[in-house]
Amino acid sequence: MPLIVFKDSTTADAQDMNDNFNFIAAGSILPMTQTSEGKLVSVDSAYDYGASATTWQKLHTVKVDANSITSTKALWRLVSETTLTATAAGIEFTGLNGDAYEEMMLLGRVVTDSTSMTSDHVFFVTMNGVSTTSEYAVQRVSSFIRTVGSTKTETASNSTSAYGLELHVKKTGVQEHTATAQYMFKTNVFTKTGQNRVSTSRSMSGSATTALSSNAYGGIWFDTTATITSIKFEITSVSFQANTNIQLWSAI
Amino acid sequence: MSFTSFSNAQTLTASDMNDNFLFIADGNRLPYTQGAAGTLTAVDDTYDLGGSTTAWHTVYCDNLNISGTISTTNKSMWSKIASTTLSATAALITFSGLDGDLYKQFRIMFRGIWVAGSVDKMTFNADSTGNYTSNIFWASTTSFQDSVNQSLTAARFWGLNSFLANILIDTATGKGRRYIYDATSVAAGAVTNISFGGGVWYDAVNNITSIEFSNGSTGYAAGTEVKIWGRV
Repeated sequence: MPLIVFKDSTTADAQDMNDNFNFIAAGSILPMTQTSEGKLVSVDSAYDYGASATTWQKLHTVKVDANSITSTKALWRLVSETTLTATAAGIEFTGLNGDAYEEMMLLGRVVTDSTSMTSDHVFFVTMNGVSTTSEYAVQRVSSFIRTVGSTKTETASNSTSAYGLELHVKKTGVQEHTATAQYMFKTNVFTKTGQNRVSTSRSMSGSATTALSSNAYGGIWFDTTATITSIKFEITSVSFQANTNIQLWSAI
Repeated sequence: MSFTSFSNAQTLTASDMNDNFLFIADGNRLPYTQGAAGTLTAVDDTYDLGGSTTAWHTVYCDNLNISGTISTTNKSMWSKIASTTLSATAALITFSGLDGDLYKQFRIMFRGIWVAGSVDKMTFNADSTGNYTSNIFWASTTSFQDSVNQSLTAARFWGLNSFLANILIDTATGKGRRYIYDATSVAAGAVTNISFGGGVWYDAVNNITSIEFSNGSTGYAAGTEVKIWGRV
């Protein structure tokens, strides 16, 4: 039923009046705007339901379908996601606000090249474009195998300088450099100013049929004053290949 | 106040008219349907707030109480899609009706209590034909060890006794089903073990529709709780 526009000096039909109430109140409630003829038509993404200073107390619903959701740090939201379609030296997320997020989480599925390795390839994250190794420190524990079927090896290391917040090492001579090896990691970083920018990471590498390594990392960026506005995911010596997928999540 | 359905040739009181506006606009807003004789009756789980092409821009509320599901563009939220809490001992914990392609990734929170066990395991789509590899690392209060295995009948993670494990799994077809986990085991107020690792399910083709957990022995005790989150 359409909205009936009443006019002066006319007799309004009771049903028209009832229909107008029902038009407004019955069924799905859509955001409306008034046309030049005084009618109400629905519009998209133009009006708010409630306001910042006059909120609804509870919204009871079976489903929510939204472009974005914010809360008082009660949820995790995808800030940005990149899937490479071509080789890239790094993946950078800009326009961030580490103070607003307080904590960020990087999830990654990584494909690298399969060229012969002459040095270890380290996966790491730099903050605000800072690549000075003395600005970072790292400690790790790794378990890996050099070739399929061989004895496993455990290593641990601690360094007061690092490429960044390191999260995985592709070891020289380890089966990881095979073409089918891919990597998976999860890194959590505390990003608020005034607090230590500490990270924890878990990673693994695997070919189609072999879990080649597992790693646990702890890291720190010594800067506690600069607001984190960008995060770049990088690797030493080589590049990331197509299908590498990096997700940046934050508490919201 | 009630809603008054007007009739022709009826003399309205101003109060009736005012009450109708107040009925609609004042206080809690409820979803209404037109009832008998033009009245408005509140109904449950029937109508939408906004539409797919006519969305509200921002909804401001202090509490969002959702009894069903959340969906967003770009799958930009994590939402719990399945959970169970054991009320009695169970050798197996099975989740079916899953859709790995829909959710892309699963995050699993496993708060386990062993009755007796050897190592925690999970299988996908009931595949127990040697299609898994794992590389897991664990440390007790006195030592640490790791193990690398291929052609396993299940993907391994090691919680041990009473534990909390977090597992992240890539579930989309065509991408390689890799997982990583970390776990902490406790007993009598102390941390007894920590463990982390990862692995691969060789099958990159079939959509993941079920996950089954076991621990190589008599299984899990009452109170064991498993929650699965997916990207929505």
